[in-house]
Amino acid sequence: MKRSDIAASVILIGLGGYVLVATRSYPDSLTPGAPGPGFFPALLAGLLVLFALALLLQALRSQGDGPAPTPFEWGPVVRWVIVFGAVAVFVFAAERTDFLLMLFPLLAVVMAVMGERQAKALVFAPALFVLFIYVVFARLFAVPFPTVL
Amino acid sequence: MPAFDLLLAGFQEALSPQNVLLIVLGTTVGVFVGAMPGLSSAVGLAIVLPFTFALPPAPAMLMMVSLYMAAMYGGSITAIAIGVPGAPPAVATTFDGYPLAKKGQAGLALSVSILSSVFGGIFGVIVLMLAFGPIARFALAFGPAEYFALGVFGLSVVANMVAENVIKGLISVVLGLLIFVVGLDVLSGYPRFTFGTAALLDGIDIIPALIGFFAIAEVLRLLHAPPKSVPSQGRIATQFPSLETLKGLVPSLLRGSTIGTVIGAVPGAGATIASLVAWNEERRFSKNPAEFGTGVLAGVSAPESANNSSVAAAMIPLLSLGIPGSASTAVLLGGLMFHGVNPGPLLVTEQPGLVYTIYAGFIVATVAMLVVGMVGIPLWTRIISLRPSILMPMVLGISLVGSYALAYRISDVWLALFFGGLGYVMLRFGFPLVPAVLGLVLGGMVETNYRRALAVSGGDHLTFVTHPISLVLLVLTALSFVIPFVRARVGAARLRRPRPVETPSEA
Repeated sequence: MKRSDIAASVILIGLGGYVLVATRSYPDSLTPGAPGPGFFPALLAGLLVLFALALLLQALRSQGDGPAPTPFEWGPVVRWVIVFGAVAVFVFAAERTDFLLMLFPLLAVVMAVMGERQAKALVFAPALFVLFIYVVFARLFAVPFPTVL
Repeated sequence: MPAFDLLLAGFQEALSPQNVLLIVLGTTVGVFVGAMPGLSSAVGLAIVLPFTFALPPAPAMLMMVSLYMAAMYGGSITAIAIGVPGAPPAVATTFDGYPLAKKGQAGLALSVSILSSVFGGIFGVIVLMLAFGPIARFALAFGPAEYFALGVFGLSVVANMVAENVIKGLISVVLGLLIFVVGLDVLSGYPRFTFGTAALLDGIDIIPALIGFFAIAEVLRLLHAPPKSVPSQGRIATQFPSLETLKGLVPSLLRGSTIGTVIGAVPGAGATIASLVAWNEERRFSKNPAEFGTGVLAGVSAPESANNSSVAAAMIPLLSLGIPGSASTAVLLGGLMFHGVNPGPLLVTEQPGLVYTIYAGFIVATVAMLVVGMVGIPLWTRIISLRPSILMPMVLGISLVGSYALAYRISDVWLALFFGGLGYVMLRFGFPLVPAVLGLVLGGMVETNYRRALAVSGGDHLTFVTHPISLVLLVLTALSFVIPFVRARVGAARLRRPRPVETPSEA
């Protein structure tokens, strides 16, 4: 029994159910014979539920098959949360402060999380990258980045 | 204008100083992303796409196709030098390339790899030029029913071939199609799944989705098991093969290129399958099959010519029918659409200049690949030692900048981040990303033509089987599911059948 497939199936059946319910309130088409705006998403939702049920059945039938589950590791999850969180903070702050300046700490954090330990690299690589982006995108392509300067 | 004149004009455009510079840049980036384990041509195209926003369509496409072509060769550098394929299409090159390197012939293997890549690339472009016109003319007869069936066929083949588990491939396609339906319905103008957000009324922009799925998801995926730095290689000098050696490789180059072209033109099959099949066929054709895997040059030339010929071949369905068959061609389609170019049967009549510039660009790109590849052999084998802890954050940075540069909207950066997270979760749960991306890209074609066909037929679903081309495509779609299933059943039945006891005389 593959637990991840069972979890995925349940989530997908829930998603399909939500789409089916949501499309019930969509209007009919004004063109005779042609389906309205809700028909295609409802059809897709039906297929999603069908395939998710097939996946669920497959996962339940494959009890004991496949390799033994690997023990859960916190390390990758922590790394993922830090990077995803850092990017989310960056996007939030970049709009309100300075896009390019905010890139510097973001890159340094991601480099550190990915195992970079050399202080010089942690400073110079993000700095050079931000300079490159400034020259190419801000100056050459005239992209108007949010800025406080 | 006659085709020859158009091609000549295409070469004039491709050989302008600005475009040559872009092709060399694309080639250099392509070799780099191909060589670096963890990066691929699709990731490379996704991160280069923002750099093309400021360019007209032709130079943008020249930069992207040169990157796509060069990434195939780039994969062979690490495959030969350290036995680790830089990208999946170079897996078959490790079989004989690495043993050659262990014999001290890495320089020779890399030279054969680049020459084979050039041969395969030019072979593929010639087939592309010959096949594009007839296929596009044939597709002119397509109506809504045929286009719907074509879209369904493309999606089903990709779901079947890309995914290890067909059900997951299909779910991935449906998820991509569901993402497409977000926004105003093109036929009725009714908002679907916009949750009252104005930014979603225009639908999901394909480029932030591509950047998120291919670049950001890859960075997040590597957080689980960051790739180790490639150990620094000693100096590998360029070593040209003799004319005699090259002559001996011609049959393998022809076989590899033919296999690559045929397989590359099938949506979903792609360069990896092409190169593996080419290597295997080369071994079957060889007088000394046992030598394969121990370091023979034909074991390098066949897969390398195959993966490069598949690049131009993959452009056949993309340009003539608007059907991308792989992650890389999906990004190329995103680039074309951003620049207002709609691939399909009318492309060659509406924008012949662009089509012939792409042909010429492919040929110029192969020459650039030869120069950059040959001159750079000692350099590339050192550059691949760049630490992933420095490289991958830069990929993330370019992705965020590129998403913003698309339309100067921070909402696009959020969108790219969302798709990066979604792509990562899908990969963790074993769902392939390519079918989802193709679902998103082809969603418009499938839904609009489905509804148009029904509107024309007065709601009669039989319209899809009364049109012969549509019927053939739908039958092929059904077969794409039935054949692997039957083959698996037959294989399982054979395994269960008791083997006859061998008599000494039979043995």
